[in-house]
Amino acid sequence: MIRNPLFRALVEREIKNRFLGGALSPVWWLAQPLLSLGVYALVFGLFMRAAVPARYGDSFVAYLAVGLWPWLAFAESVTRSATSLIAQASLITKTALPRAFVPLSTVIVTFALNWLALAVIVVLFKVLGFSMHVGGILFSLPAWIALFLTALGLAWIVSAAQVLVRDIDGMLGPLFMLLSFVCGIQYGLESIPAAWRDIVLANPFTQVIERMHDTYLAGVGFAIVDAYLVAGAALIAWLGYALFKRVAPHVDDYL
Amino acid sequence: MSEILLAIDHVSKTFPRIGRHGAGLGALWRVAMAKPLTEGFNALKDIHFSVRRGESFALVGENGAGKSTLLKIIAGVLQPSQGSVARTGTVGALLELGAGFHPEYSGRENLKLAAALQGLVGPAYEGKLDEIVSFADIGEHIDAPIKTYSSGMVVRLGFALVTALKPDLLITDEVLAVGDESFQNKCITWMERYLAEGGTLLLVSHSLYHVKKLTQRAVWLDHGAMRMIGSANDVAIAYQAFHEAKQAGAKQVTAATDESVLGQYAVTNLQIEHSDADGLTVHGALKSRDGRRPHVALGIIRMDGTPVYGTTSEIDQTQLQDDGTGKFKFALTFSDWRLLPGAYKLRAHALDPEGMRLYDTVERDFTVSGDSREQGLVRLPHVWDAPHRL
Repeated sequence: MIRNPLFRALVEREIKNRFLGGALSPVWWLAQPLLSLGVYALVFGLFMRAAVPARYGDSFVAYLAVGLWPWLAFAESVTRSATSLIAQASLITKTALPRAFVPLSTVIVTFALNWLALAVIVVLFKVLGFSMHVGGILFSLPAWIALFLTALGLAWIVSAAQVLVRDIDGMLGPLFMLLSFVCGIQYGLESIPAAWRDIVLANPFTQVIERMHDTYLAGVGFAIVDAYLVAGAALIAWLGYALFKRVAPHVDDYL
Repeated sequence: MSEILLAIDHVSKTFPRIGRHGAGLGALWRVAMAKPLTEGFNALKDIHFSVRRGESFALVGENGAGKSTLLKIIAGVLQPSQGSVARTGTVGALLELGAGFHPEYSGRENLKLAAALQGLVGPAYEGKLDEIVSFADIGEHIDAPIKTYSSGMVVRLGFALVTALKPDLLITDEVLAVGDESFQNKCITWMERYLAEGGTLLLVSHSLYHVKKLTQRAVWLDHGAMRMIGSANDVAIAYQAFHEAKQAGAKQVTAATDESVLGQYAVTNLQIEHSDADGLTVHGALKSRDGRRPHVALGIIRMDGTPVYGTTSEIDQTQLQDDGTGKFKFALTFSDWRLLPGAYKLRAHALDPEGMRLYDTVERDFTVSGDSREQGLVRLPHVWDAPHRL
C-alpha cells in the first residue's frame, strides 16, 4: 500500500496542504501544539498548580508536552478525517480513487507530524536539562501505534458517517475535550477523587497516555499492556474498515 | 467475434431523495446494513448491453436521461443499485470537465494524480509528460493552479492525458464541446486514429454528426431506460426524428380515418407498400360523398414539418380510379428520389374535383435508412473537379 502511487500522491497532497497556503503554514505543525502547550501550562501549571506525579519528575511543561502531542495527533486526525470525504468530493465522485485512502492519508500525515514534533521537543528538553528519556522515542512506539490504529478506525467510521449525518464533526469537539480532561494529560490522576479514579483509570486512553509518560519521562521500557492496547486498537481499526467498506461505495448518492 | 470489453448486466440505479439536512441516521443504518433503497429517483432502469473490442458505441438521449450516471457506473465511480458491470482491459474515462482536478494545485500536480488514477505512474509517466503537455498546448500554464485555467485549457489537459494512456476502452462524456474548433479537430483526428488502431470508444454526445462519424453502434436512453439499441445510423435517425417530432409538437395533424365523421371528400386508406433509399410505393383510396371524382395531394415532409416535395393528381393531370362503391383509388411510385437517410412522413390530402379545396389529411411515417453522413434532405447530383481520389 505504501508503494501504491495513488496513496503516495494523496499523502503528498496532505503534506503540501499543511505546509502551503498561509504565511505561517511551514511552522504551524510545530507552532500550533506549542501554543496549546503554552495555554495549558499557564492555566493548569501556573494558575491551578496541577501536581506532577513524583515518578515523572518535577517539570509540569514536560509532563504536559508528552501527553499533549499524542493526544493532539489523535483528536486532530479524527476531526480532520470527519470531513475528508466531503472535502474530496470532486475527486471521489468523479474518479475511481480507492476511498479508504482519503481518511488514511489524513491520519498518517497527522500522526507522522506530531510524532516527529514530540521527538524534536523531547531532544530539545533533554538538551535544556529537563528530566527526559530519549529512549522514550522508541519505547513509546507501541502506545503511538495503538493510538494511531484507534484514530484510523474512528476516522473511517466518522468520515463515512459524516456524509450521511452531517452533525458528527460538530459533536467530536466537545467529546474529545471531555476525553482529554479525563486521561491525565493536563494533571496527574492523583488529583481525581478516589470515587471517580477507577473509572478514569479503566479508560484505555488513560492507559495510552500513561504509557507515554512512563516511557518518555520515567524511562520505562516496553510493557505487556502495550500488547493489549495495540490488539484492542487493531480491533477498532478493523471494525472501522469493515463499516467504511460497506458505506463508502454509496456515499456518492449523498455527496 | 472480438472479445467483450464491457458487459453491462441489467443495471439499475436509484438515487435516494435527500433533504436539506442530509440523509440522517436512518439512511446511515440502511447503508451500513446493506439494505436496498425502497424509494427514490430511478435514474437507470434495467440497462443491458455489451461492447466488444473495436466496436465503438455512442450513448444518446435528452438531458437527464441517465447518460452520465451510466458512464459513471461503467467507469467504476458509482455503484449500481442492481445489476453489475464487467470490464476487461484498461479503461480511460473523461467524465466531466476537469473531473478530479483540484483547483488549488498546478496543472502538473493535478496531472500526476490524474495519471496515477488511470494507472500511469513512475518512469512511464515521466516519459510521457512532454507528450501530454505538448498535446494540451497550454505552455507555461502547466505550473499555474488549475483555478486560473480557462475551461478550454482544463479540457485540453484532461484529453491530453487520455491520448498518452491509449486505454483499451475510452469513455468520454460530451467533453469535446468545450474546446475551440482547432482543438476539437485535433481530438477528432486523434480519436479516428485511435479507432483505426483498434481502440474502442464509448461516447456520449449530442452531436449526431460525431455519433455517426465515430461510432458503429448506439444506445438511446430515454428517462433512464433503453429506448433503442442498434447501428449508430439507425439510432441517430430515430433520435433525430424524435426531436423533430417533438419540435413540431402541437402542430401535429391528426389523421381522421373514421368514416362517419368524414367531410365531403376524405382519405379512407393510405398504405406505404415499400420504401427504401431509392424510392417509395404507395396506394390508397379517397371517398366522395357526392360521387364526383376527387383529386389527391401527396407530399413528403420531414418529421419536423419541413416540406421536401409535394404534388397532386391534378398537377400531374391524372385521374383516380373509381371502384364503383364511391371509393376512388390511387397508386404511385416515387423512384430514384435521392432522399438522405432520416425519418419522414408521407402526407395525403383529399382535394375537391377542381383541385382547389383541401378536405382531409392522413399521414404515414417512414424511414430512409442508410449510413450517409451527408447533410440536408436530398442528395443533389454533383461532380468533383479533382484529379485524385482518397
